[in-house]
Amino acid sequence: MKFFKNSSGIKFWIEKVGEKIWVHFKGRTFAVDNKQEPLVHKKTSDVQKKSNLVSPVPGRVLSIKVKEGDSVQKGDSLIVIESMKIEHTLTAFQSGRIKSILVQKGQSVESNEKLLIFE
Amino acid sequence: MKVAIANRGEIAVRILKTLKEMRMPSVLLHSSEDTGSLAYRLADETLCIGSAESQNSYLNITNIVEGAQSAGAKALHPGVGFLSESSKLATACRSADILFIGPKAEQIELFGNKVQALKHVQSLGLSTLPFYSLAHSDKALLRKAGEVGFPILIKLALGGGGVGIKKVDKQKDFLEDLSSVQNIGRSVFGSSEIYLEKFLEKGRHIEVQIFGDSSGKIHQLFERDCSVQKRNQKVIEESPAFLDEETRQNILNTAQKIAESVQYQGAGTVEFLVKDKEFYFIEMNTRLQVEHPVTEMVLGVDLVRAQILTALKSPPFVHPLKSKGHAIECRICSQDFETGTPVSGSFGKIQWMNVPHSRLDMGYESYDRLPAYYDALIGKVIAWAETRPLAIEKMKCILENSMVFGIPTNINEQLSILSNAQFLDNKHHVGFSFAKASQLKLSEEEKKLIQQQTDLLQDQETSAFNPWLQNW
Repeated sequence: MKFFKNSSGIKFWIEKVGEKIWVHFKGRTFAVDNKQEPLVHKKTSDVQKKSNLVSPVPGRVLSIKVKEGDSVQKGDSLIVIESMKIEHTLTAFQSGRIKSILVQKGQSVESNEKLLIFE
Repeated sequence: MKVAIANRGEIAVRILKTLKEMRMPSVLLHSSEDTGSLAYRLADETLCIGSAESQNSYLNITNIVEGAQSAGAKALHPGVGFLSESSKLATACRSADILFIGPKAEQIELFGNKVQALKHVQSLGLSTLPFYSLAHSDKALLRKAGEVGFPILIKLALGGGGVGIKKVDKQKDFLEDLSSVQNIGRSVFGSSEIYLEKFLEKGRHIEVQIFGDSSGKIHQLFERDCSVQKRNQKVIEESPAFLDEETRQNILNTAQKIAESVQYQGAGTVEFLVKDKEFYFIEMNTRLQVEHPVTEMVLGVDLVRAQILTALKSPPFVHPLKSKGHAIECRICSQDFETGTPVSGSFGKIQWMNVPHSRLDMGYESYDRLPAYYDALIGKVIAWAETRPLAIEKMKCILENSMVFGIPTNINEQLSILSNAQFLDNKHHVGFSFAKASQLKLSEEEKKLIQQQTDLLQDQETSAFNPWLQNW
Protein backbone atom coordinates (compact mmCIF):
# COMPACT_ATOMS: atom_id res chain seq x y z
CA MET A 1 0.00 0.00 0.00
CA LYS A 2 1.23 3.47 -0.82
CA PHE A 3 0.27 6.76 0.72
CA PHE A 4 0.59 10.19 -0.87
CA LYS A 5 -0.96 13.65 -0.87
CA ASN A 6 -1.77 15.87 -3.77
CA SER A 7 -1.09 19.58 -3.83
CA SER A 8 -4.39 20.37 -2.12
CA GLY A 9 -3.44 18.12 0.77
CA ILE A 10 -5.90 15.41 -0.15
CA LYS A 11 -4.64 12.06 1.05
CA PHE A 12 -4.57 8.97 -1.10
CA TRP A 13 -3.91 5.38 -0.20
CA ILE A 14 -3.47 3.06 -3.14
CA GLU A 15 -2.66 -0.56 -3.67
CA LYS A 16 -2.61 -2.76 -6.71
CA VAL A 17 -4.43 -6.02 -6.01
CA GLY A 18 -4.75 -8.35 -8.96
CA GLU A 19 -5.74 -6.37 -12.02
CA LYS A 20 -7.26 -3.50 -10.08
CA ILE A 21 -5.97 -0.46 -8.33
CA TRP A 22 -7.61 0.10 -4.97
CA VAL A 23 -7.89 3.68 -3.86
CA HIS A 24 -8.97 5.21 -0.58
CA PHE A 25 -9.48 8.95 -0.56
CA LYS A 26 -11.97 11.47 0.80
CA GLY A 27 -13.15 8.82 3.23
CA ARG A 28 -14.22 6.31 0.59
CA THR A 29 -12.66 3.18 -0.89
CA PHE A 30 -13.10 2.03 -4.44
CA ALA A 31 -11.36 0.16 -7.22
CA VAL A 32 -10.33 1.36 -10.65
CA ASP A 33 -9.26 -0.71 -13.59
CA ASN A 34 -5.59 -0.68 -14.28
CA LYS A 35 -5.41 0.24 -17.94
CA GLN A 36 -1.82 1.35 -18.18
CA GLU A 37 0.81 -0.46 -20.15
CA PRO A 38 3.55 -1.76 -17.92
CA LEU A 39 6.03 -2.17 -20.83
CA VAL A 40 7.60 1.25 -20.50
CA HIS A 41 8.11 0.77 -16.82
CA LYS A 42 9.90 -2.48 -17.20
CA LYS A 43 12.37 -0.49 -19.20
CA THR A 44 12.65 1.96 -16.34
CA SER A 45 13.83 -0.80 -14.08
CA ASP A 46 16.28 -2.04 -16.63
CA VAL A 47 17.77 1.39 -17.01
CA GLN A 48 18.06 1.87 -13.29
CA LYS A 49 19.99 -1.32 -12.93
CA LYS A 50 22.59 0.26 -15.17
CA SER A 51 23.25 2.84 -12.48
CA ASN A 52 21.28 5.66 -13.99
CA LEU A 53 18.59 7.46 -12.07
CA VAL A 54 15.60 8.13 -14.30
CA SER A 55 12.44 10.04 -13.66
CA PRO A 56 9.48 7.75 -13.00
CA VAL A 57 7.01 10.44 -14.08
CA PRO A 58 6.85 13.36 -16.47
CA GLY A 59 7.30 16.57 -14.50
CA ARG A 60 9.61 19.30 -13.40
CA VAL A 61 12.79 19.20 -11.34
CA LEU A 62 12.02 21.00 -8.07
CA SER A 63 15.38 20.58 -6.43
CA ILE A 64 18.64 18.73 -6.71
CA LYS A 65 20.06 17.64 -3.37
CA VAL A 66 23.49 16.46 -4.53
CA LYS A 67 26.47 17.69 -6.55
CA GLU A 68 28.63 15.84 -9.02
CA GLY A 69 31.31 13.90 -7.19
CA ASP A 70 29.28 13.50 -4.00
CA SER A 71 29.29 10.16 -2.24
CA VAL A 72 25.80 9.01 -1.31
CA GLN A 73 24.38 6.23 0.80
CA LYS A 74 21.54 4.03 -0.34
CA GLY A 75 18.31 5.83 0.56
CA ASP A 76 19.74 9.38 0.44
CA SER A 77 17.54 11.97 -1.27
CA LEU A 78 18.87 12.91 -4.70
CA ILE A 79 16.31 14.81 -6.73
CA VAL A 80 12.78 16.04 -6.14
CA ILE A 81 10.41 15.92 -9.10
CA GLU A 82 7.04 17.61 -9.17
CA SER A 83 4.36 15.97 -11.20
CA MET A 84 0.60 16.50 -11.15
CA LYS A 85 1.08 18.69 -8.09
CA ILE A 86 2.77 15.90 -6.20
CA GLU A 87 6.34 15.86 -5.02
CA HIS A 88 8.34 12.72 -5.65
CA THR A 89 11.58 12.50 -3.76
CA LEU A 90 13.91 10.21 -5.64
CA THR A 91 16.38 8.45 -3.39
CA ALA A 92 19.58 6.57 -4.08
CA PHE A 93 18.86 2.93 -4.89
CA GLN A 94 22.48 2.08 -4.13
CA SER A 95 25.47 3.63 -2.36
CA GLY A 96 28.11 5.23 -4.54
CA ARG A 97 29.46 8.40 -6.12
CA ILE A 98 27.56 10.71 -8.42
CA LYS A 99 29.38 10.84 -11.74
CA SER A 100 27.24 13.42 -13.47
CA ILE A 101 23.94 15.27 -13.14
CA LEU A 102 22.09 15.66 -16.40
CA VAL A 103 19.29 18.05 -15.39
CA GLN A 104 18.92 21.47 -13.85
CA LYS A 105 16.53 22.86 -11.31
CA GLY A 106 13.25 23.95 -12.94
CA GLN A 107 13.80 21.80 -15.99
CA SER A 108 10.98 19.72 -17.41
CA VAL A 109 11.65 16.02 -17.71
CA GLU A 110 9.93 13.18 -19.43
CA SER A 111 9.08 9.86 -17.97
CA ASN A 112 12.16 7.60 -18.09
CA GLU A 113 14.46 10.53 -18.79
CA LYS A 114 17.93 10.11 -17.32
CA LEU A 115 18.51 12.46 -14.39
CA LEU A 116 21.91 11.46 -13.09
CA ILE A 117 24.55 8.82 -13.52
CA PHE A 118 26.39 6.90 -10.81
CA GLU A 119 30.03 6.00 -11.17
CA MET B 1 -11.36 -27.26 30.06
CA LYS B 2 -10.61 -27.44 26.36
CA VAL B 3 -13.34 -25.84 24.25
CA ALA B 4 -14.08 -26.75 20.64
CA ILE B 5 -15.47 -24.12 18.29
CA ALA B 6 -17.71 -25.40 15.52
CA ASN B 7 -17.76 -22.22 13.51
CA ARG B 8 -15.68 -19.85 11.42
CA GLY B 9 -15.08 -16.23 10.50
CA GLU B 10 -15.52 -13.33 12.86
CA ILE B 11 -17.67 -15.21 15.38
CA ALA B 12 -15.02 -17.91 15.81
CA VAL B 13 -12.49 -15.13 16.42
CA ARG B 14 -14.86 -13.52 18.92
CA ILE B 15 -15.21 -16.75 20.92
CA LEU B 16 -11.46 -17.43 20.76
CA LYS B 17 -10.74 -14.02 22.27
CA THR B 18 -12.80 -14.80 25.35
CA LEU B 19 -11.30 -18.28 25.66
CA LYS B 20 -7.84 -16.75 25.58
CA GLU B 21 -8.84 -14.22 28.22
CA MET B 22 -10.18 -17.02 30.41
CA ARG B 23 -7.00 -19.05 29.79
CA MET B 24 -9.02 -21.91 28.39
CA PRO B 25 -7.42 -24.00 25.64
CA SER B 26 -9.26 -24.01 22.31
CA VAL B 27 -9.58 -26.20 19.27
CA LEU B 28 -11.03 -24.79 16.09
CA LEU B 29 -13.02 -27.31 14.06
CA HIS B 30 -12.74 -25.97 10.54
CA SER B 31 -13.29 -26.85 6.92
CA SER B 32 -10.44 -27.45 4.51
CA GLU B 33 -11.15 -24.03 2.99
CA ASP B 34 -10.54 -22.04 6.17
CA THR B 35 -6.85 -22.53 6.86
CA GLY B 36 -6.03 -18.98 5.85
CA SER B 37 -8.30 -17.26 8.36
CA LEU B 38 -7.67 -15.25 11.48
CA ALA B 39 -9.51 -17.81 13.61
CA TYR B 40 -7.18 -20.51 12.31
CA ARG B 41 -4.17 -18.48 13.40
CA LEU B 42 -5.61 -17.58 16.81
CA ALA B 43 -6.79 -21.02 17.92
CA ASP B 44 -4.49 -23.08 20.14
CA GLU B 45 -5.29 -26.15 18.09
CA THR B 46 -7.02 -26.65 14.79
CA LEU B 47 -8.67 -29.70 13.34
CA CYS B 48 -10.01 -30.03 9.82
CA ILE B 49 -13.40 -31.73 10.00
CA GLY B 50 -14.35 -31.78 6.35
CA SER B 51 -14.32 -30.19 2.96
CA ALA B 52 -15.28 -26.65 2.04
CA GLU B 53 -18.98 -27.34 1.52
CA SER B 54 -20.78 -26.63 4.80
CA GLN B 55 -22.73 -29.90 4.72
CA ASN B 56 -19.43 -31.75 5.02
CA SER B 57 -17.99 -29.61 7.77
CA TYR B 58 -19.81 -26.84 9.67
CA LEU B 59 -23.19 -28.52 9.18
CA ASN B 60 -22.02 -32.08 9.78
CA ILE B 61 -22.93 -33.12 13.32
CA THR B 62 -21.03 -36.42 13.20
CA ASN B 63 -17.81 -34.80 12.01
CA ILE B 64 -18.11 -32.03 14.58
CA VAL B 65 -18.74 -34.29 17.57
CA GLU B 66 -16.09 -36.81 16.53
CA GLY B 67 -13.65 -33.98 15.89
CA ALA B 68 -14.28 -32.45 19.29
CA GLN B 69 -13.84 -35.86 20.94
CA SER B 70 -10.63 -36.70 19.13
CA ALA B 71 -9.19 -33.31 20.07
CA GLY B 72 -10.03 -33.98 23.70
CA ALA B 73 -12.45 -31.05 23.98
CA LYS B 74 -14.70 -31.09 27.02
CA ALA B 75 -17.07 -28.39 25.76
CA LEU B 76 -18.30 -27.06 22.42
CA HIS B 77 -19.38 -23.58 21.38
CA PRO B 78 -21.55 -23.58 18.24
CA GLY B 79 -21.22 -19.85 17.50
CA VAL B 80 -23.98 -18.32 15.38
CA GLY B 81 -25.63 -19.63 12.22
CA PHE B 82 -24.72 -23.13 11.02
CA LEU B 83 -25.74 -25.57 13.79
CA SER B 84 -26.05 -23.06 16.61
CA GLU B 85 -29.80 -23.65 16.75
CA SER B 86 -29.72 -27.37 16.20
CA SER B 87 -31.18 -29.38 19.05
CA LYS B 88 -29.62 -32.42 17.36
CA LEU B 89 -26.13 -31.02 17.86
CA ALA B 90 -26.92 -30.23 21.51
CA THR B 91 -28.19 -33.78 22.01
CA ALA B 92 -25.25 -35.35 20.16
CA CYS B 93 -22.84 -33.41 22.38
CA ARG B 94 -24.63 -34.57 25.50
CA SER B 95 -24.41 -38.21 24.36
CA ALA B 96 -20.70 -37.77 23.68
CA ASP B 97 -20.17 -36.26 27.14
CA ILE B 98 -19.29 -32.87 25.69
CA LEU B 99 -20.70 -29.79 27.35
CA PHE B 100 -22.80 -27.87 24.82
CA ILE B 101 -22.39 -24.13 25.45
CA GLY B 102 -25.95 -23.04 24.82
CA PRO B 103 -29.49 -23.68 25.96
CA LYS B 104 -30.99 -27.09 26.61
CA ALA B 105 -31.94 -29.19 23.59
CA GLU B 106 -35.67 -28.94 24.41
CA GLN B 107 -35.48 -25.15 24.48
CA ILE B 108 -33.73 -25.03 21.12
CA GLU B 109 -36.29 -27.44 19.73
CA LEU B 110 -39.31 -25.45 20.93
CA PHE B 111 -38.16 -22.14 19.45
CA GLY B 112 -36.46 -23.68 16.42
CA ASN B 113 -39.81 -24.23 14.78
CA LYS B 114 -41.26 -20.73 14.42
CA VAL B 115 -44.84 -21.96 14.24
CA GLN B 116 -44.45 -23.85 17.51
CA ALA B 117 -42.82 -20.80 19.05
CA LEU B 118 -45.66 -18.50 17.96
CA LYS B 119 -48.21 -20.92 19.38
CA HIS B 120 -46.30 -21.17 22.63
CA VAL B 121 -46.18 -17.39 22.97
CA GLN B 122 -49.89 -17.10 22.18
CA SER B 123 -50.61 -19.69 24.86
CA LEU B 124 -48.94 -17.34 27.34
CA GLY B 125 -51.46 -14.69 26.38
CA LEU B 126 -48.86 -12.54 24.60
CA SER B 127 -49.32 -10.85 21.26
CA THR B 128 -48.10 -12.08 17.90
CA LEU B 129 -49.06 -10.91 14.45
CA PRO B 130 -51.90 -12.93 12.94
CA PHE B 131 -50.38 -16.05 11.42
CA TYR B 132 -51.66 -19.10 9.69
CA SER B 133 -49.91 -22.44 9.42
CA LEU B 134 -52.28 -25.29 8.74
CA ALA B 135 -53.18 -25.90 5.16
CA HIS B 136 -53.98 -28.96 3.16
CA SER B 137 -53.29 -27.34 -0.14
CA ASP B 138 -51.68 -24.37 -1.77
CA LYS B 139 -55.13 -23.16 -2.77
CA ALA B 140 -56.27 -23.18 0.85
CA LEU B 141 -53.22 -21.10 1.71
CA LEU B 142 -54.02 -18.70 -1.10
CA ARG B 143 -57.57 -18.32 0.20
CA LYS B 144 -56.25 -17.68 3.71
CA ALA B 145 -53.78 -15.11 2.39
CA GLY B 146 -56.67 -13.33 0.72
CA GLU B 147 -58.53 -13.22 4.04
CA VAL B 148 -55.53 -11.85 5.97
CA GLY B 149 -54.83 -9.39 3.17
CA PHE B 150 -51.83 -8.36 1.09
CA PRO B 151 -48.99 -7.69 1.47
CA ILE B 152 -48.38 -10.85 3.42
CA LEU B 153 -45.25 -12.71 4.46
CA ILE B 154 -44.52 -16.32 3.60
CA LYS B 155 -42.01 -17.67 6.10
CA LEU B 156 -40.26 -20.97 6.60
CA ALA B 157 -41.06 -22.63 9.93
CA LEU B 158 -37.42 -23.67 10.29
CA GLY B 159 -35.96 -20.61 8.59
CA GLY B 160 -33.38 -18.29 10.07
CA GLY B 161 -30.81 -15.66 9.31
CA GLY B 162 -33.21 -13.83 7.02
CA VAL B 163 -33.41 -16.80 4.66
CA GLY B 164 -36.81 -18.11 3.64
CA ILE B 165 -38.89 -14.98 4.09
CA LYS B 166 -40.85 -13.59 1.18
CA LYS B 167 -43.14 -10.59 1.13
CA VAL B 168 -45.97 -11.03 -1.35
CA ASP B 169 -47.57 -7.80 -2.50
CA LYS B 170 -50.21 -9.13 -4.88
CA GLN B 171 -52.49 -12.10 -4.85
CA LYS B 172 -51.46 -13.15 -8.35
CA ASP B 173 -47.83 -13.66 -7.23
CA PHE B 174 -48.75 -15.75 -4.22
CA LEU B 175 -48.55 -19.28 -5.60
CA GLU B 176 -45.30 -18.68 -7.41
CA ASP B 177 -43.67 -17.11 -4.34
CA LEU B 178 -45.01 -19.90 -2.17
CA SER B 179 -43.33 -22.57 -4.23
CA SER B 180 -40.07 -20.61 -4.33
CA VAL B 181 -39.99 -20.34 -0.52
CA GLN B 182 -40.84 -24.02 -0.21
CA ASN B 183 -37.99 -24.89 -2.56
CA ILE B 184 -35.54 -22.83 -0.51
CA GLY B 185 -36.81 -24.59 2.61
CA ARG B 186 -36.25 -28.02 1.13
CA SER B 187 -32.74 -27.27 -0.06
CA VAL B 188 -31.45 -25.14 2.85
CA PHE B 189 -33.32 -26.32 5.93
CA GLY B 190 -34.54 -29.74 4.86
CA SER B 191 -38.18 -28.82 5.37
CA SER B 192 -40.71 -26.97 3.26
CA GLU B 193 -43.03 -26.24 6.19
CA ILE B 194 -44.20 -22.65 5.90
CA TYR B 195 -46.54 -20.24 7.63
CA LEU B 196 -48.17 -16.98 6.65
CA GLU B 197 -47.74 -13.88 8.77
CA LYS B 198 -49.50 -10.56 8.43
CA PHE B 199 -47.11 -7.92 7.15
CA LEU B 200 -46.71 -4.97 9.49
CA GLU B 201 -46.23 -1.75 7.51
CA LYS B 202 -43.40 0.44 8.73
CA GLY B 203 -42.61 -1.81 11.66
CA ARG B 204 -39.34 -1.65 13.53
CA HIS B 205 -37.32 -4.68 14.49
CA ILE B 206 -36.60 -4.58 18.19
CA GLU B 207 -35.17 -7.51 20.06
CA VAL B 208 -34.44 -8.19 23.70
CA GLN B 209 -31.28 -9.92 24.87
CA ILE B 210 -32.12 -12.24 27.70
CA PHE B 211 -29.87 -14.55 29.66
CA GLY B 212 -30.81 -17.44 31.90
CA ASP B 213 -28.23 -18.40 34.50
CA SER B 214 -27.71 -21.88 35.92
CA SER B 215 -29.79 -21.08 39.01
CA GLY B 216 -32.83 -20.52 36.80
CA LYS B 217 -32.85 -16.74 37.06
CA ILE B 218 -33.63 -14.82 33.85
CA HIS B 219 -31.65 -11.61 33.38
CA GLN B 220 -32.92 -9.14 30.84
CA LEU B 221 -30.08 -7.31 29.08
CA PHE B 222 -32.14 -4.60 27.44
CA GLU B 223 -33.03 -4.21 23.82
CA ARG B 224 -31.45 -3.71 20.42
CA ASP B 225 -32.96 -1.96 17.42
CA CYS B 226 -32.13 -3.75 14.17
CA SER B 227 -34.41 -1.84 11.82
CA VAL B 228 -31.79 -1.10 9.20
CA GLN B 229 -32.10 -4.15 7.01
CA LYS B 230 -31.45 -5.11 3.45
CA ARG B 231 -33.04 -8.19 1.90
CA ASN B 232 -34.11 -9.34 5.39
CA GLN B 233 -30.53 -9.10 6.59
CA LYS B 234 -29.60 -6.81 9.45
CA VAL B 235 -27.15 -4.13 8.44
CA ILE B 236 -26.92 -1.78 11.44
CA GLU B 237 -27.86 -2.56 15.05
CA GLU B 238 -28.12 -0.25 18.02
CA SER B 239 -28.84 -0.19 21.71
CA PRO B 240 -30.91 1.29 23.26
CA ALA B 241 -33.87 1.50 20.89
CA PHE B 242 -35.87 4.65 20.29
CA LEU B 243 -38.91 3.87 22.46
CA ASP B 244 -40.97 5.59 25.09
CA GLU B 245 -40.18 4.26 28.54
CA GLU B 246 -43.52 2.53 28.98
CA THR B 247 -43.30 0.58 25.72
CA ARG B 248 -39.70 -0.33 26.46
CA GLN B 249 -40.65 -1.78 29.84
CA ASN B 250 -43.57 -3.66 28.30
CA ILE B 251 -41.35 -5.21 25.68
CA LEU B 252 -38.62 -6.10 28.18
CA ASN B 253 -41.16 -7.67 30.51
CA THR B 254 -42.73 -9.67 27.69
CA ALA B 255 -39.35 -11.06 26.66
CA GLN B 256 -38.61 -11.97 30.25
CA LYS B 257 -41.95 -13.80 30.56
CA ILE B 258 -41.26 -15.81 27.41
CA ALA B 259 -37.84 -16.84 28.69
CA GLU B 260 -39.18 -17.65 32.14
CA SER B 261 -41.94 -19.80 30.66
CA VAL B 262 -39.32 -22.38 29.67
CA GLN B 263 -36.69 -21.69 32.40
CA TYR B 264 -34.44 -20.65 29.58
CA GLN B 265 -30.74 -21.20 30.07
CA GLY B 266 -27.96 -19.24 28.42
CA ALA B 267 -28.04 -16.39 25.91
CA GLY B 268 -31.19 -15.87 23.88
CA THR B 269 -32.87 -13.15 21.89
CA VAL B 270 -36.58 -12.47 21.75
CA GLU B 271 -37.48 -10.64 18.54
CA PHE B 272 -40.41 -8.29 18.10
CA LEU B 273 -41.89 -6.09 15.42
CA VAL B 274 -42.85 -2.76 16.91
CA LYS B 275 -45.08 0.02 15.66
CA ASP B 276 -45.72 2.96 17.95
CA LYS B 277 -46.79 1.36 21.24
CA GLU B 278 -47.83 -1.95 19.67
CA PHE B 279 -45.40 -4.84 19.59
CA TYR B 280 -45.64 -8.39 18.35
CA PHE B 281 -43.46 -11.40 19.09
CA ILE B 282 -42.01 -12.82 15.88
CA GLU B 283 -39.41 -15.35 16.99
CA MET B 284 -36.83 -16.29 19.57
CA ASN B 285 -33.24 -17.15 18.74
CA THR B 286 -31.69 -19.63 21.12
CA ARG B 287 -28.10 -18.61 20.65
CA LEU B 288 -25.65 -15.76 20.67
CA GLN B 289 -26.48 -13.21 17.95
CA VAL B 290 -24.15 -11.53 15.50
CA GLU B 291 -25.15 -8.17 17.00
CA HIS B 292 -24.43 -9.15 20.63
CA PRO B 293 -21.56 -6.62 20.88
CA VAL B 294 -23.90 -3.60 21.07
CA THR B 295 -25.38 -5.10 24.23
CA GLU B 296 -21.90 -5.84 25.56
CA MET B 297 -20.88 -2.24 24.94
CA VAL B 298 -23.81 -0.59 26.75
CA LEU B 299 -23.64 -3.05 29.67
CA GLY B 300 -19.91 -3.62 29.93
CA VAL B 301 -20.29 -7.41 30.04
CA ASP B 302 -18.91 -10.32 28.01
CA LEU B 303 -21.72 -12.56 26.79
CA VAL B 304 -19.44 -15.37 25.60
CA ARG B 305 -17.86 -15.43 29.03
CA ALA B 306 -21.33 -15.45 30.56
CA GLN B 307 -22.27 -18.42 28.36
CA ILE B 308 -19.21 -20.37 29.41
CA LEU B 309 -19.69 -19.54 33.09
CA THR B 310 -23.30 -20.64 32.89
CA ALA B 311 -22.32 -23.94 31.27
CA LEU B 312 -19.96 -24.39 34.24
CA LYS B 313 -22.80 -23.52 36.65
CA SER B 314 -21.15 -20.30 37.78
CA PRO B 315 -22.86 -16.89 38.02
CA PRO B 316 -22.57 -15.12 34.65
CA PHE B 317 -22.35 -11.50 35.82
CA VAL B 318 -20.65 -9.74 38.70
CA HIS B 319 -22.63 -6.51 38.99
CA PRO B 320 -26.29 -5.62 38.47
CA LEU B 321 -26.90 -4.87 34.78
CA LYS B 322 -27.26 -1.21 33.86
CA SER B 323 -27.38 0.21 30.37
CA LYS B 324 -25.20 3.23 29.74
CA GLY B 325 -24.82 5.44 26.68
CA HIS B 326 -25.45 4.28 23.12
CA ALA B 327 -23.80 1.60 21.02
CA ILE B 328 -24.05 1.04 17.29
CA GLU B 329 -22.77 -1.77 15.11
CA CYS B 330 -22.17 -1.78 11.36
CA ARG B 331 -21.82 -5.11 9.63
CA ILE B 332 -19.00 -5.09 7.12
CA CYS B 333 -19.80 -7.39 4.22
CA SER B 334 -18.22 -8.22 0.94
CA GLN B 335 -20.40 -6.60 -1.69
CA ASP B 336 -19.82 -5.63 -5.29
CA PHE B 337 -19.87 -1.84 -5.61
CA GLU B 338 -22.25 -1.97 -8.55
CA THR B 339 -24.37 -5.10 -8.28
CA GLY B 340 -24.39 -5.43 -4.49
CA THR B 341 -23.67 -9.15 -4.65
CA PRO B 342 -21.03 -10.77 -2.42
CA VAL B 343 -17.57 -11.21 -3.87
CA SER B 344 -14.99 -13.76 -2.80
CA GLY B 345 -11.26 -13.61 -3.39
CA SER B 346 -8.14 -12.31 -1.74
CA PHE B 347 -7.94 -9.19 0.35
CA GLY B 348 -5.29 -6.60 -0.16
CA LYS B 349 -4.29 -4.41 2.73
CA ILE B 350 -6.95 -4.04 5.44
CA GLN B 351 -6.58 -1.13 7.83
CA TRP B 352 -9.03 -0.14 10.58
CA MET B 353 -8.99 2.98 12.65
CA ASN B 354 -9.15 2.17 16.32
CA VAL B 355 -10.67 4.91 18.47
CA PRO B 356 -11.59 4.97 22.17
CA HIS B 357 -14.77 3.00 23.00
CA SER B 358 -14.83 1.28 19.67
CA ARG B 359 -14.44 -2.33 18.84
CA LEU B 360 -13.46 -4.31 15.76
CA ASP B 361 -14.79 -7.86 15.51
CA MET B 362 -13.10 -9.08 12.37
CA GLY B 363 -12.69 -12.49 10.80
CA TYR B 364 -9.97 -11.53 8.37
CA GLU B 365 -6.72 -9.60 8.19
CA SER B 366 -4.73 -8.17 5.30
CA TYR B 367 -4.10 -10.58 2.42
CA ASP B 368 -6.39 -13.30 3.84
CA ARG B 369 -8.69 -15.18 1.49
CA LEU B 370 -12.45 -14.73 1.66
CA PRO B 371 -13.85 -18.11 0.60
CA ALA B 372 -16.78 -18.34 -1.79
CA TYR B 373 -18.48 -21.07 0.23
CA TYR B 374 -19.78 -19.09 3.17
CA ASP B 375 -21.50 -15.81 3.97
CA ALA B 376 -20.29 -12.36 3.04
CA LEU B 377 -19.69 -11.11 6.58
CA ILE B 378 -16.13 -9.84 6.94
CA GLY B 379 -16.65 -8.47 10.42
CA LYS B 380 -18.31 -5.78 12.48
CA VAL B 381 -17.38 -2.34 13.67
CA ILE B 382 -18.94 -1.31 16.97
CA ALA B 383 -18.84 2.19 18.44
CA TRP B 384 -20.00 3.39 21.83
CA ALA B 385 -20.57 6.97 22.93
CA GLU B 386 -22.64 8.83 25.47
CA THR B 387 -25.47 9.59 23.02
CA ARG B 388 -26.80 8.22 19.71
CA PRO B 389 -25.60 11.18 17.62
CA LEU B 390 -22.13 10.91 19.13
CA ALA B 391 -22.02 7.16 18.51
CA ILE B 392 -23.05 7.70 14.88
CA GLU B 393 -20.37 10.36 14.43
CA LYS B 394 -17.80 8.02 15.92
CA MET B 395 -18.86 5.25 13.56
CA LYS B 396 -18.59 7.57 10.55
CA CYS B 397 -15.14 8.63 11.68
CA ILE B 398 -13.99 5.02 11.94
CA LEU B 399 -15.41 3.99 8.57
CA GLU B 400 -14.09 7.03 6.73
CA ASN B 401 -10.61 6.38 8.03
CA SER B 402 -10.55 2.66 7.46
CA MET B 403 -9.91 0.77 4.26
CA VAL B 404 -10.44 -2.69 2.91
CA PHE B 405 -8.60 -3.33 -0.35
CA GLY B 406 -8.86 -6.22 -2.77
CA ILE B 407 -12.50 -7.10 -2.09
CA PRO B 408 -15.32 -4.57 -2.42
CA THR B 409 -17.37 -3.97 0.73
CA ASN B 410 -20.51 -2.21 1.87
CA ILE B 411 -18.56 0.42 3.84
CA ASN B 412 -19.49 3.23 1.43
CA GLU B 413 -23.11 2.18 1.69
CA GLN B 414 -22.92 2.11 5.48
CA LEU B 415 -21.54 5.64 5.40
CA SER B 416 -24.43 6.86 3.30
CA ILE B 417 -26.96 5.27 5.69
CA LEU B 418 -25.19 6.92 8.63
CA SER B 419 -25.82 10.29 6.95
CA ASN B 420 -29.39 9.55 5.91
CA ALA B 421 -31.92 12.01 7.37
CA GLN B 422 -34.51 9.29 8.15
CA PHE B 423 -31.90 7.27 9.96
CA LEU B 424 -30.59 10.26 11.90
CA ASP B 425 -34.15 11.18 12.94
CA ASN B 426 -34.73 7.54 13.89
CA LYS B 427 -37.71 7.35 11.54
CA HIS B 428 -36.56 4.43 9.41
CA HIS B 429 -38.23 1.03 9.55
CA VAL B 430 -37.56 -2.53 8.47
CA GLY B 431 -38.82 -2.06 4.92
CA PHE B 432 -37.09 1.26 4.36
CA SER B 433 -34.78 1.17 1.38
CA PHE B 434 -31.81 3.42 1.72
CA ALA B 435 -30.47 4.98 -1.44
CA LYS B 436 -27.51 3.23 -2.97
CA ALA B 437 -24.17 4.74 -2.04
CA SER B 438 -23.11 7.13 -4.74
CA GLN B 439 -19.81 6.30 -6.35
CA LEU B 440 -17.14 8.90 -5.86
CA LYS B 441 -16.46 10.71 -9.08
CA LEU B 442 -12.80 11.07 -9.84
CA SER B 443 -11.65 14.19 -11.60
CA GLU B 444 -9.41 13.75 -14.64
CA GLU B 445 -6.53 15.06 -12.61
CA GLU B 446 -7.15 12.58 -9.80
CA LYS B 447 -7.38 9.75 -12.29
CA LYS B 448 -4.04 10.68 -13.79
CA LEU B 449 -2.51 11.01 -10.40
CA ILE B 450 -3.66 7.59 -9.32
CA GLN B 451 -2.43 6.08 -12.57
CA GLN B 452 0.99 7.64 -12.10
CA GLN B 453 1.24 6.42 -8.56
CA THR B 454 0.25 2.98 -9.72
CA ASP B 455 3.01 3.08 -12.29
CA LEU B 456 5.39 3.71 -9.46
CA LEU B 457 3.98 0.73 -7.60
CA GLN B 458 4.57 -1.43 -10.64
CA ASP B 459 8.09 -0.22 -10.87
CA GLN B 460 8.58 -1.38 -7.36
CA GLU B 461 7.21 -4.75 -8.28
CA THR B 462 9.56 -5.21 -11.19
CA SER B 463 12.72 -3.64 -9.88
CA ALA B 464 14.96 -4.85 -7.12
CA PHE B 465 16.86 -1.56 -7.14
CA ASN B 466 14.05 0.72 -6.29
CA PRO B 467 14.39 4.26 -5.07
CA TRP B 468 10.85 4.30 -3.62
CA LEU B 469 11.05 1.07 -1.72
CA GLN B 470 11.23 2.98 1.53
CA ASN B 471 7.65 4.10 1.04
CA TRP B 472 6.40 0.59 1.63
